[in-house]
Amino acid sequence: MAKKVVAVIKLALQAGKANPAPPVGPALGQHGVNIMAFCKEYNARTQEKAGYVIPVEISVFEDRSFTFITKTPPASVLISKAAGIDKGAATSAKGSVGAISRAQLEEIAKTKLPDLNCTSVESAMRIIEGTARNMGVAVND
Amino acid sequence: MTLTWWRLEMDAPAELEESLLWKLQTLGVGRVAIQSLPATPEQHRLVAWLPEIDWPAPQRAELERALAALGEPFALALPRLDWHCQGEEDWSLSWKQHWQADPIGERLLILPAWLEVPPEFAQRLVIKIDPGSAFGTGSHPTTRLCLEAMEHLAIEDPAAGSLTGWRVADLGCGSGILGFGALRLGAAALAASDTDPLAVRATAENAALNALSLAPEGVVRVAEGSVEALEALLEGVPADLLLCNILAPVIEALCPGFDRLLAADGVGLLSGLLVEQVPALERALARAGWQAELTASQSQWGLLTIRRERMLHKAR
Repeated sequence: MAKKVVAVIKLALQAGKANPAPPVGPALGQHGVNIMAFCKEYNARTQEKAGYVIPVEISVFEDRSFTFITKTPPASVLISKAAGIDKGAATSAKGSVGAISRAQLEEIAKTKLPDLNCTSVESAMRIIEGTARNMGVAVND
Repeated sequence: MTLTWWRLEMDAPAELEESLLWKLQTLGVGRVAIQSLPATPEQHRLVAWLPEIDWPAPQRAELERALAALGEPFALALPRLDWHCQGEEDWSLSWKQHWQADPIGERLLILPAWLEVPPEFAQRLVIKIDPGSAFGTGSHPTTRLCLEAMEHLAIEDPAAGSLTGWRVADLGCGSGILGFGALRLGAAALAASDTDPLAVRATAENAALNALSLAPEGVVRVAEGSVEALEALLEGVPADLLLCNILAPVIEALCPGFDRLLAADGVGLLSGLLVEQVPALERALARAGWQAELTASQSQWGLLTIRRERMLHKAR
């Protein structure tokens, strides 16, 4: 069918637990998207990954119908996993909670590239490195 | 207790987006959306919802300081944060305000599944739709053009005044709305296909909403796939009416297969194409043996009527 996208919305949702409360309700409802249909479909597609945050990108079409695709985990999750830590530093204690290698950084950048707002691996690496530093995770050469 | 929300909005530069999502998550702000428009896909806007009761002014100021620090690795200043108060509402229902009964042409009415037929439209032929993930809610010009064109076809057949007895094929059926419109106008049977499994499911669900049974007992056949799937549903007997509301390049790619779907004296209604794309598509259709005519348009969208031979009235 003739689909023209009028809005793109990314949400980081708990797998299997989408509901009409924010962010889903107000973010999609403003476009007239069928909230319950989205929640039902998202939960069905992600129910086997309960406990994880599964980002989703929703495209809203001119006639208020929609489609969505699930995305790669947040960069912070990939960085934490690579560094072997639960999560990043609570404060900006740079380099204080763990470290990843530059090879790991590049691998994460390549994984996240399709979902980042950039077009080159080099740009993606800069974003991931900065995110790691903000999390208190050092990047070792 | 009714929650009231703080809605935090800010631009999200590419470099900062992942850091912002991480920091907000660690601060307990997990209700976050990143929005963008097709015209400016690189400009992202972050929107977060925070329960008002948990975020008085000192906490909000602290959050702003925490976010400001994220710009340091990128030598970026944090974009301005805008705070808006937003009341609680039942978002499971409020999206429905965007939908209403929608008359099409002279005879049809598209009705969201949860609404009753308004008295002023009581004489119209109703197509019920539960709008969801399948294209074809009725509010797009291409859908309307097809439905209106079917009405005109019905008028062209003076003996019946309808599409009575016609067998209809819908290629790229989406929600199924076009095929249901044909059935409401008198068609006898519908075969519909779509490459999107969600559309196939939506068509089956919307058929039930319209009290239309699926084959073998009923008149609606639907399958996942393209030309081949639709041809299989037709069981060797091409349709009287072919509906195809897909983008022009897709129609161009599929049109060599139309002769397996549409009878020699059949009519095809092709939409989903821009008026400016019509000349090129007409040439492609001609190469495939079809005579095409731009018979309707709305804003930049056009509708092509195709026939093997030009006929004023469809030979029955």
